[in-house]
Amino acid sequence: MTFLYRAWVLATLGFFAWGSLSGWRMLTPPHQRIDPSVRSSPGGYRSYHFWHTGFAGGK
Amino acid sequence: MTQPTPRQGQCPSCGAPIEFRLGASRATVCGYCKAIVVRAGQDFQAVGKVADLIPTGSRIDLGSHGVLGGDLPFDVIGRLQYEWQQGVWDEWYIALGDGRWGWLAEAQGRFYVTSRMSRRPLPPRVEPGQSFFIEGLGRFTVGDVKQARIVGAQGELPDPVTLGESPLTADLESEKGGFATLDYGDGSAEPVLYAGRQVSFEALHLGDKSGQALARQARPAGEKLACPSCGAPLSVRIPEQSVRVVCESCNHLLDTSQGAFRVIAALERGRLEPRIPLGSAGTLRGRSFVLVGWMVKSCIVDGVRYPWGEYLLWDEKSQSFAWLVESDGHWQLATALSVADVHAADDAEFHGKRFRHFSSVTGKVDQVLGEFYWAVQAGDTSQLDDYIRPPEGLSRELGGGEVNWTHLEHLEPGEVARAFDRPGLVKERPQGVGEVQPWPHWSTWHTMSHWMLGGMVALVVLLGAFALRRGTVLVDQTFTSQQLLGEATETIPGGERVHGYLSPEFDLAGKGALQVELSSDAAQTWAYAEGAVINETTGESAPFAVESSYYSGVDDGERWTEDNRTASASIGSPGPGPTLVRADLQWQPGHPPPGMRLRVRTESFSIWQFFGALALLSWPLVYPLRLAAFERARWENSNLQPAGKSGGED
Repeated sequence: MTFLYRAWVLATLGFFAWGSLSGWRMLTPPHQRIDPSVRSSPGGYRSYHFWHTGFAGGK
Repeated sequence: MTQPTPRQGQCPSCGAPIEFRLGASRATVCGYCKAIVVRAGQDFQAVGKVADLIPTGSRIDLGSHGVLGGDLPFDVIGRLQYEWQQGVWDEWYIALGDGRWGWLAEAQGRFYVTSRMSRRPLPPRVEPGQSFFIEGLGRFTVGDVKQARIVGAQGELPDPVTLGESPLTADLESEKGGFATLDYGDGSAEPVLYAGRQVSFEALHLGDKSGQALARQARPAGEKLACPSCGAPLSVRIPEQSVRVVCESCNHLLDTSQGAFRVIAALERGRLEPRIPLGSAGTLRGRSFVLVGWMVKSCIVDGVRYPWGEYLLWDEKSQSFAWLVESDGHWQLATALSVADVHAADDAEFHGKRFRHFSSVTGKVDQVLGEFYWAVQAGDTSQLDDYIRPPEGLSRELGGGEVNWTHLEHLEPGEVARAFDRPGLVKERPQGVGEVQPWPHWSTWHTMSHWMLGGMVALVVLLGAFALRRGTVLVDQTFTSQQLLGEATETIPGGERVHGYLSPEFDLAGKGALQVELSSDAAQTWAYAEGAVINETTGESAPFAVESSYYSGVDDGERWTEDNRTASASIGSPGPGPTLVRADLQWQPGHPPPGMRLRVRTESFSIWQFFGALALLSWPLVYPLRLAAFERARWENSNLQPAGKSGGED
C-alpha cells in the first residue's frame, strides 16, 4: 500500500508539472475549426446556442 | 564497671554448650533441645522452645557465608521462619564482617538484605500502594502490609522471640531498587525500620560451611511426586517456587508451602482446557519460558461476565515469572514491576510515559490448573485496574494486603502460536479490539503521512516556481460604456445587446494554456464575453465564455454583496502562429453597458489543477478517521469513560 501511495504522489506531482508546462487544462471547451471566410465575418463563429438564447446570466 | 556479657555457656534447659558469635545477639536457639536461650546480664535464661522448622528447600543454612557488594563478608548465624496466607518464608540473621548485623530475607526465589536503621520519622500506619519519603533514604512505595506469624527459629537472634507472635510489617520498595521493611510489632512501640536492597542470588556469592559454592537450584525441576489424594504422579516443574499445585488427574488443589503436599480443596472439574498445554516451552520476546500454570479469571460489568485466561510462565534463566494473558483471542505478555516504578493517580506513569486508566473491576479466580508460586484458590478476588498506552499497558492488582503492578505488552496471535508451536491459534480471529492492541495501520499511516506532507510541500514549491514565470499579455482592451454602444453594437434574438470585438493579430509562440480575463465596473448587473482565440493559419479556435457581475443588497437587516467583477477562464492554445481574438461583449437588456476590460495572456499554471493535485494527495487523511473508529471500538470495552470517569461495574 505504501509503495502504491509513493508512486501516486510522484505521479500527481508529475501530472501537475506536466499540465503546467504543456498548457494542458482539465475541463476546457473543445477546440473548433473555423473556415477563413467565416472568420472574416464578425460574429460568424457564433454558435447556434448563441443565436437562439444568448446569455441569460446574472441575478 | 560492668563485666562483658559472656558469649559462651550452657543451655539452662539441657546443659548443652551454647555460643553467641555476635555481641549484638540477645537470644539463641539451643541446637539440642531447641530452647530459646536469652542473655540476661551474666545469666542465660530459657524462655520457651521452638517447633521444628518447616522445610522450605532453601540452600542457605547456618554457617553459610557470602560476600556483599564484592568486599563485605557475612556469615549466616540465625534464622526466623514466618508464615502468612501466601506461605512460609525464611529470614536469615547475618553477622557482617564490619561487626554490624542484618537480615537476609528469602522469598519466592528473591533475596533482600536489610539492616536496622536509626530512628527517624515514620508514618504511624501505611496501606498498599501508599508512597512517602523516608528521611535520608528517599521515596518508598508500600508493596504489602501483612501480619505474619513466627513459626520457627534457629541459631542466634538479635532479640528474643515468642512463637506465634504476629508482628505487623510493611514491605516497601524505592525507585532505585531500594527495599525496606517497617516493623510495627504489636503496635505498642515505635515502628522499626530495616532498609537495604534486593540482591540476586549470584550477587551474594554464597558458600556453605565447607567453602563449597551454593548452587541456585537445589532440587531438579520436573520432580516426580505423587498426589496425596489420588496417588497419580505429579510433575512439579518448579519445586522451589511452587506453593500451590493442582493435580491434573483428580483436580485437587494441593499446598506445598510446608514441605509435603497437603490437600486444600477439591476443585470443580475444569470446564475449560488451556489452549496451550501445561509444560509447553517456548521463546517470547527473547525469553525462554515454560508454561507451568493456567487459570481462568473473570469480572462482571453491567451484569455481563467477561472471562479471560492467564498462563503462568517460568523463566529459568532469570528465575522469574511472567504471564501470558488471553482475552477474546487477544494476547498479552505481562511481567512484574516494582511498585515504586509506577505512579498512579487518575492515570498512571511509568518510565516517563503516561498510561490512561482503562478499566477498574473486581477479578475473580474461576478455575486453576498447574502450579503457582502463591496460595491461589478458586474464588479468590482482587481489585484490578488496567492502564493503557498501546501497545503497552499496566495492570494493578490489589488484594490480600498487597499491591502488584505488571507491565503488559501486546502479542500478535501468530507470535504466540510460533513461540509454543500452536499453529491453530493463528486461525482464530480475535474479537473486537484488544485492550493494548496497537492500531494495525500505524506503520502505513506513518509512511503515508510523511509522503503526503512531502508531496504537498513539493506541490507548493512547484506552484511557486511556475508562478515566477510571468505570463505574456497578448490582448488588453478596455471598453467604455460609450464605445460599447457604438457602431459594432447589435441586438441578438434573446434581446441582449452585443458589441463585437476583433483584436489585432498577434503571434502566439507556444502551445501553453491561455487565460481570458473579463473585468467590469458592473453594479447590480452583469457583463459577459463570449468568443474564441483563433489561429489564423489553421483555423483552430479555442472558445471561451466569461461573466463579470456585481450585486449587493440588504436582507433582514443584513447587508450582502456578490462581487465577481473580475472573472477568468482557462483555455487551451489554438497552436502557435498568427492569432487573433474575437469576442462578443454582452450586458443586461434595459441596463446601460458597464465599462469592461478584456485581457488574454499566457497562463503558467492552473490554480484549479493545483487544488486538484492537492486533493489527490490528501486521500490518506481517511486513515485518522479509521484510527478514531478503532479507538472508539477499544473504549467500548472499557467500563471507564476515556476521560477517566467511572462507568458501571457491578
